[in-house]
Amino acid sequence: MDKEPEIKTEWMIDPIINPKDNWELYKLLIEKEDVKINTDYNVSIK
Amino acid sequence: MTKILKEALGVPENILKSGVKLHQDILKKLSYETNNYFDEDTEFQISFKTDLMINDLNIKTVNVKIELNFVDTDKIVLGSMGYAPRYTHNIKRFMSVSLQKFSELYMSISLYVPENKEISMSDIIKFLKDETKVIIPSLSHELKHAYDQSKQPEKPLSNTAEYAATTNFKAFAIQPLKIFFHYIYLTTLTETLVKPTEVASRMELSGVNKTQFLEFLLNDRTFQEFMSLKNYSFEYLVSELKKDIKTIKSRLVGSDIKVPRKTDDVIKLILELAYVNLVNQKGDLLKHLILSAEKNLFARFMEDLGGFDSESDKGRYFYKKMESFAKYKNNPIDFYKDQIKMFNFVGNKMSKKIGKLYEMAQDPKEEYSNIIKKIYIKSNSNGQRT
Repeated sequence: MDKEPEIKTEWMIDPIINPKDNWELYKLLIEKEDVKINTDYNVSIK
Repeated sequence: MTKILKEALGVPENILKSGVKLHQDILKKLSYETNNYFDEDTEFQISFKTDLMINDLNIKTVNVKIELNFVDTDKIVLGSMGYAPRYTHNIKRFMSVSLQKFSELYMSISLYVPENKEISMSDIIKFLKDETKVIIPSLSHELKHAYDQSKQPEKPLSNTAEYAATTNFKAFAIQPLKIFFHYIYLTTLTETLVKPTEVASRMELSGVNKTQFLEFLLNDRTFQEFMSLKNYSFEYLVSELKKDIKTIKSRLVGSDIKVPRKTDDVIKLILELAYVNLVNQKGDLLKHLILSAEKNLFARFMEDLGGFDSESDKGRYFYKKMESFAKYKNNPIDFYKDQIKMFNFVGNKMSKKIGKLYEMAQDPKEEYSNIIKKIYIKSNSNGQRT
């Protein structure tokens, strides 16, 4: 089944608080999955 | 001041007035909703008709998504603002193509609000009024993004993926690393195009004249950030990471990664892994953008599951871009060193450019004559407000 191309709204977010001056507040919005570290590339890169 | 000179400084005609009007429009619209109360994370949208001119761009409808994030803070804080261009993806050319409806603006305002407390719409309105000097420059910043988008309605999907991945990269919640990636965001073309407008807005709201300009400039947060970029170095990044070595080690342990014995090796490892994860994030976003342009749902499902056929146009494009994203694969440390060269270059260029806003500051004589004019109008207005 064909579908019309989606209308996308990719948000361009501009942080007003910054990690240098407002770190305590800034890190409150960092989720658990954001601190998980992957050790390999997801795709094979030549 | 001539229109051409303002344009040369990166501040389109009427954008500062439009920032002020947008602020007034938002307050007016919210004032109809004063019976609303919130006590948990919420988002809601307001939409209204307006008439904002930015040079030749006329915005007639505005949609603002307002997000409330209840966190451990004692007062309301402006967390971020956002702009959302609306477009489709042209998969034959791998481009994002704007829908050309530039008369309609979609934007967001994200607020941090104190948890364990009920917040009323009146509290939000009061905050937006009290913080006028923070809110209006940020609104002007978003308006400039909209203006720039109208001038360049197409861009490669890979650029969109790269910008979004870098901006959203959380750097494993390690502060010096996150500051480094915040600086990459600041030095993107997208951001350097809007910064003079944001600073000019702050300058105008504070009524800075030419004699006050230097003091204003030295205390301006954007100018200070570009000065930090100008002087940033790889050695500084490493020294800052060393101060946060406990956090770095705990992040490695939390991800079941063996922690090297020597501090220098721990730093090297976290820098290399941050690079790997950034490349992955760029790749994930690019894949998502390409898939979202696929009309055939079955093909989309299969490609999402199994990846792109490397012989197809999509596959060739994707893997070529992945190679480009991962061009420092063999020496990720060079990625940081090259970025820092860019920081120094952009920091130097932008601090000079922002310094040129001096030309827009009011001449003290002109300001004096404006005061005389205001007094004259007031004294001849028969008691009416001017």
